[in-house]
Amino acid sequence: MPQLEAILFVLAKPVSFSKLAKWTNTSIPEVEESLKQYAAMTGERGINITLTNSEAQLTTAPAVHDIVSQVVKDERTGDLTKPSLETLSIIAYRSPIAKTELEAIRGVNCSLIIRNLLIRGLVTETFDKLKGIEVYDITPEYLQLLGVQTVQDLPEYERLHRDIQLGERLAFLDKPGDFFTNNITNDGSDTPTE
Amino acid sequence: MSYEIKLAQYQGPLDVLLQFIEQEQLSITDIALAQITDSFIVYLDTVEELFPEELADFLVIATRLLYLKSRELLPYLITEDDEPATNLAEHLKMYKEFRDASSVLEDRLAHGQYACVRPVSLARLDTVEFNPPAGIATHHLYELYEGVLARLDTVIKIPQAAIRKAITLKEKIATLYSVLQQHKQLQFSDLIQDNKDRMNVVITFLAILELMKQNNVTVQQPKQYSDILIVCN
Repeated sequence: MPQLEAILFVLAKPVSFSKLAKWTNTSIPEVEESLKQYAAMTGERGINITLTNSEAQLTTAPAVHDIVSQVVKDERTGDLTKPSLETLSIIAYRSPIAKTELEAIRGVNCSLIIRNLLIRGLVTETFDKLKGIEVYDITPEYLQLLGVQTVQDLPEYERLHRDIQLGERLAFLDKPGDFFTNNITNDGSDTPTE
Repeated sequence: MSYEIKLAQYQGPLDVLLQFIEQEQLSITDIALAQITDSFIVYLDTVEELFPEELADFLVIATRLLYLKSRELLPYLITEDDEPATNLAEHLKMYKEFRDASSVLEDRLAHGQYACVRPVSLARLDTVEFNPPAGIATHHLYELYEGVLARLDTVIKIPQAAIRKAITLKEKIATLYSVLQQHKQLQFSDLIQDNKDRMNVVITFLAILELMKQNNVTVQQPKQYSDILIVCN
């Protein structure tokens, strides 16, 4: 863990888990586990960490933003239109997510919004070799604007993030009531498929 | 029933649907959706005016609403082979979950408590270089640009065609109604006399159906396949 912290400190930018694993001669799951432990320990410290599904970056703690912004000019802004914000939120809660699922949830074509979010650096696009499609995820920057370390810190994350295909859910639902509590997976798994 | 929808910026069809339901203080059910179908159809005009390129998304939801309403109105026509009711209500509930979550995140963003990162030295960004692939020539750039323009062409043309059709029916209703007001009554055959175009006949017929629905005209057909008399109310 000291090694990971040191690398993230000198690079001062988002670093992929695979690079960290290579440099520290460990595996990606090990890196991920160490970084999660690190995130849990930041508590009262002035330094926090941002963790996406693939990258990590050291940051200042959101709680001290007022002080830090006197020292460093932060030109980033959280100004987003409602549709963009809605799209980003769905990506954050459901990532990695395919465009078709995103569009199924919103009932709207999302190509243009995704492109804008990609340009603003709030979303990444990667090719999922297993599924053979492009999937979308949020970038460290979006988590930093929200002032959280990982998506798991978002409100109601566990409930809104479930590893079930949207189509199946819509097709098999016949009982009214809460959409999510009716559809708990048998294995209780909450991790996205890789 | 009159509705007020905030139009400061574009909202998707599901968002609009939710606002209708919330204003009526209904819970999200098939019956509630059937109730607000007419309001949603009326709202299509506003969409066409302000966000014409988004009309298709709204039409998809409108069709699902109409199907739902038809099932509510004519339950005896549903056979076992028919598709089950659309999952629109369930879909909307799920959408609402994400919309609510999104407004919580919006508050957080507005709060402005960002996590800051160390500024990366700008010196490194100074060395901007142009590194074209080996063997590239001017004509390659020309061909690539042509390709881009060709692709843009289809993007620009498709929505235009869709919108033109939608306006035609509306215009048809308007012109037809003014003609009928002048003549008081007309035969359907008079209306389609000069129309060689099959599409035009269909649209004329649809326009009459719409005018009937709005109670602007009454139609009479003495016997099967005979000419239809249209009387202005």
